[in-house]
Order: sequence, then structure tokens, then C-alpha cells
Amino acid sequence: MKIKRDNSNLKSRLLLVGVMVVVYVTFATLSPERFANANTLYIIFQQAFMSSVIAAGLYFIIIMGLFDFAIGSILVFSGILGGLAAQHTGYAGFIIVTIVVAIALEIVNGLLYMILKVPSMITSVGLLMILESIATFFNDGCGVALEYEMRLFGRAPYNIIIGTVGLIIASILFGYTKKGIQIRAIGSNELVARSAGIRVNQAKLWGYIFCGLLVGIGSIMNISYGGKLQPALNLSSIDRNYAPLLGCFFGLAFKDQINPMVGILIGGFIIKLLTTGLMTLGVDATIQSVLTGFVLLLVVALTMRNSRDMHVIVK
Amino acid sequence: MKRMLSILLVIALLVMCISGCAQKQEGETTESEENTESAEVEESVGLNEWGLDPTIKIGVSCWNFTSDLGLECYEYITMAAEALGCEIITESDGFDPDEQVTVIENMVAAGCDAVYLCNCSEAILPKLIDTCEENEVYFGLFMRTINDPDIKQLAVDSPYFVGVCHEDEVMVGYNLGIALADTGAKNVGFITWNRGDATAEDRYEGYTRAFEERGVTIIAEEWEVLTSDQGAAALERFAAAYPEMDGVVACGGGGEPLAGIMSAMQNLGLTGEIPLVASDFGPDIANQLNNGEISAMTGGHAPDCMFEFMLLYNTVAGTPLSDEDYVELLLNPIVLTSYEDATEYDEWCKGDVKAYTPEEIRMMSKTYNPDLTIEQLKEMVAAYSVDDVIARHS
Repeated sequence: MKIKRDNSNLKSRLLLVGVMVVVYVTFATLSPERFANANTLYIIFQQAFMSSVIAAGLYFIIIMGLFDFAIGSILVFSGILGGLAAQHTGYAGFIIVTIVVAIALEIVNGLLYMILKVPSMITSVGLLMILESIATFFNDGCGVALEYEMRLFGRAPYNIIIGTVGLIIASILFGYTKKGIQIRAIGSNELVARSAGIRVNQAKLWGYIFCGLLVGIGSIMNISYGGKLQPALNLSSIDRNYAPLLGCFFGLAFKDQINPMVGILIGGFIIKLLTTGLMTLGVDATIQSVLTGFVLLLVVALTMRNSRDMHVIVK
Repeated sequence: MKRMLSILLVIALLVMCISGCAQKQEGETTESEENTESAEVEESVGLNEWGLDPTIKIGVSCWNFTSDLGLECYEYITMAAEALGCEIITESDGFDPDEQVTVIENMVAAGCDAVYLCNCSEAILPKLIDTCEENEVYFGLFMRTINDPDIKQLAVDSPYFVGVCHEDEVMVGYNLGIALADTGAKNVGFITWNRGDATAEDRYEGYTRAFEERGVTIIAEEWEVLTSDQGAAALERFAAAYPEMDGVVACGGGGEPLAGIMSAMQNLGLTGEIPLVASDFGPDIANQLNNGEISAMTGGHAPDCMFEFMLLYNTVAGTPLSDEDYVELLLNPIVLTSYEDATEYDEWCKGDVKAYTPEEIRMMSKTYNPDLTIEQLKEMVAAYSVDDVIARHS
């Protein structure tokens, strides 16, 4: 049995790497001058980090069978407050305020879910709507723009450094801390975890805190990269959830075979390879989304056959 | 405990909603207070000090009122409402088709006499025209016209569709395309927003026409770019995959994508090296032109929103300016290509006194200015430029 399981793991790992190689080789063949150059690969690598850090945060929630629609609005909200703080206090205020606000909002998110005892999807949508509106109260609703000097974490190598640090922190929290193990146990079977003496609500709250930490780091990267954040209204902040969510699915699909944070990063890399490759071929944005969704479905479907724990996704 | 917490949360939410509404109404109240004295004097006839009907209520739905252009639109329409002493309702629709329909329906239900919006897609217009017809509410569009002949016919046939105010977006694209070609650009990256949006498509047509004339090639294009990080990512991809790129177009979509594009250009050391043309002025346009971050830009078209307001206001007041089935006001956006142009624009169009004074706005009301004709209004709209503002206000 043991040997069979190992083979299954190897197959899944090969599948993940195989998909990445196939996508790369396909576009490198179709568009050798545009796609197959070091510059393009480097840009894709950098872009993959930003959504991966946020995906790593979302992973802590999804692995517990919960869902968080509010991460996009928390990213915008904390980024705006952090950006405003940066104008007065420099990097220290920027980093601290962004991360603390993101953590605080995720705690509120977790508490709402636990106290109201309604599905996390509903509480997170409620929080999202509130945050989108409140974000317009700051700076006359104009959002915030960062000066070039304050946008260090939006360019190489600093974006890679902060992204790597974020993913390492996520890996440690997930794999090597007591709370991380408890979160995984809840994801496997909440009833069993409760019977085993795990304080489920407390562990879930820690999951939200870890998520907030990583969304905060992602927010710093996001505003540093784009240079400007404006309040998103009418649920438009949900758009910011999709890229991390796609990365998250890769992490979940391969969680038994490799470190989920590595899976998330490779997943993010594959998605960026796809979008950039399709762009170099001149494929329309709408068709790009269709093809990206198709590849995601294909990869996850193929992997699910090898995984025993994919019920987490649909829990 | 749980019940108590739920009640507390609901109360907190309600208080926030009410305080939010109260903030909006504060402006309206101020405007009403200004008119209180005169309103008392003329109470018997129900008119304000300018002899205008204070009960007219117009609803404006905009993508948001927080972006640079959205905020400026808000300033113009509140200024118009104050100048005329009438009521306005403003609502953000997020440039989302479902939300735009909902917002317009809410405004109709709220008793607006006229409503208008900057529609994100022509596909929603038949539904909105129907809603307005059923409720006998006048309807119009700002910064948009209708390209689809069938939908346009619906508007023409509707007694409640008044008209549109828009820019010649093909010319916007054409002028900027020529400006970019003048910099010597031959291989251009093109970043824009929604497919199907009339403005985006028209600008694209204008750009391609200019590029065909000047032998410029669009080597890469990316659509659906609405946020700064998407703008930055698109630019980075272009720069990596197309090293021969020597010009960039940021077609529009508000200030956020442009901010992202400029941020990525700075990160890659391309600022000033590769010319960038864009639409929709941000707050720092003078410095951006001075630093070479932008080579040419069009914008300053926020008064569009006010002109459409006046078109509808006159109709609701019972003094329609035209018996045309589809009134079309055409405004020329301002083109800035130098620091001097930009400082002049800032001084004359963005100061405490905007491009139109309250008295000038009242003169666009037929009740206040009985000699006003639709031709005169069209001329005013068409004349809009920095030189025009200087001539009127200096």
C-alpha cells in the first residue's frame, strides 16, 4: 500500500511540473522570440509572487472548509490605510499599519462567523460591503497613491524577497506550528478534531489571523506594485479574489504531495505563464480567461483522482 | 447573547447607513438653506429666488464618485444643482451592468423626475428605456452615445429619452494616436478596458485610424484592465515580450490603470524613454507632462455630466430645448501636450471657480433665460476649451 501511495505522490508531482513545462514549451514554440526569453520569465516569476502570498493567506481559510469573500476588500482597505500612514511615517508606519489593519479585519471576519454562526461566505460578503463603503471615508474617497521612493516592494528584487518571506512564514505557520497542525486537523475532519480536544473556534480564529498577516503582506506588495489604490465599490473588490483563489486550488490539489505553499506558487506561475503566453499570441482577454479556467479544471480534475482529501474544496 | 450581538450589529450597520446618507444629504441641505430666504419670499408661487422650480429631482448614476474624473463630475453636478436650487440624487454603480440597472430603478422608485448615467454597455439600455417609459421619467446618457442602430431606434422612439452628451471618442483616439506618432513611435503597446464599451471601442477605432495613416503598428494589446496592478502587469508583460515597443497607449478606465502603467514604467526605467499617451486627467497632470511620464493626454471632460444635467433639467422644467427625438451634445475633450498647457488648464478649469460659474449654469436654463435655444447650448458645449474658459472668466 505504501508503495502505491508513493507512486501516486510522484505522479501528482510530475503532473504539476509537467503542466508547467508543457505550458512553457508550448508557448515558447509558438512564440519563441516573444515568450522564450529570460526577461519574460523573470517578469512572470515576479508577478506570480504577489497573488501567491494572498493565496497562501486564503489557503488557511479554505483548508478549514470556510470561505472568505472579503480578502479583496481587506487588501484594499488595509492598503489605503497603510498608504496614508506611509505619507507621514515612512516604511515603518506603512508596513505596520497595513499588516495590523489586515489582521484586525480578518479577526473581525472570524468573530462574525463564529458569533453569528452563519456560513463564512455570508459573513465575509457582509464585511466586504461594509469595508468597501468605509474605505471611501478616507482621504475624501480618493484612495491613496505612493511616491516612487515608497514603492520598493513593488519592484525586483524586493518584491521577490518580501514574497519569499511571506511564503516561508506561511509554510512555517502551516506546517510547523501547533495552530497550523490544528487548522489542518479541522480541515480533515472538524468533528474528530473537536473530539481530540482541539479548541476548534480558537484554531479557526488563528487561521483568520494568519490569513490577515499574509493578506497584509500581499497588500503591501499590491500597492507598491500598482502605485495607487482606490476604494472599490459595488462588490468590485471580489475581482481581486480570483487570482489568489486559482492559486489556492493548485495548493489544495497537490497538498498531499508537496508543500501547499510551493503548490500555490507553482500554480500562480502556471497561470501567469498562460496569460502572458496567450497575450504574446494576441489572444483576446476573454478567451484568455476561458483557456485559463479550462486548464485549471483539467489540472484539478486530473489531480483529484489521485487525492483522498479533495473533499476540502467542496466542503 | 447571540441575539443581542446580532441586534447590536444590525443597529451598528443601520447607524452607518444612516450617517452615510446624512453626509450626502448635508450638501443638499446646504444648498436648500441657501435658498431658504428667497424660497420663503416666493413661497406663494413655489419658485426659488431665481424663479426656478426647487422640487425638480434628478438622479445621476456614475461608475463612482471617488476616482479623479468621477469626483470632478460630482463637483459639477452638485454645483449645477446648487445654482438652480433643485434636488439631486447621486449613486455609484461600479460600471457594472446589473448594478447600473438596479441604481436607475432605485432612483426611479425614489421619485426622480429624470435620471441619467454613463452606461457600461448598450445592452442594458432597452431595459432602462422601458423602466423610464413605464414610470414616465426622463432619461439620458452622459459621456456616452448609442452606436447600435436598433437600440438607438428604441431611444428615438421613446418619448422619455431626451438625449446624450458625449465626446467624439474616435477623435480622442485619433488625436492621441497622431500625438504618439509625432513622437516617432512605430511599435505601440495598447492597454484598455471593457470590450463592448462604446467609448473604449471608439477610441480604439480612432487610434487604429491614426496609426494606419502614420504607419504605426499595435504590437500588443490588453483589454479588461481596470486596476493599477492589472495596468502594471500588462505593461511589464509588453516590455518583456516586445523589447522593440517604443510607445504605450493607456486608453482610459480611470486613473488607476494609468497609475499602474506609470509605476511599472518607472520600475523598468522606461519613464521618458518610451512615450505614453492617455485619457482622463489625474490630479498631477502638469508634473507628469513636465517629468516626461506622459507625452500627451486628453481629459477635462467632466462638464459633460453637467451639460446632460441641463438638458434633462430643461425638459423636466417643462421647457424642453428641442423637439428632436434624440438630442446629441458633442463636447471636445481638452488635449494637453506640455507643462504650460497643463498649468493653464489647472488655473482656469480646476480652481475654486470651475469652467462654468453658477450664473453661467443658470443661463443654460430656459426658465431663467427664455431666449435659450438648443443651438446655443450645443455651441456652448462645442466651444468648451481652456481658451473658451479664459475668454469668459478673465
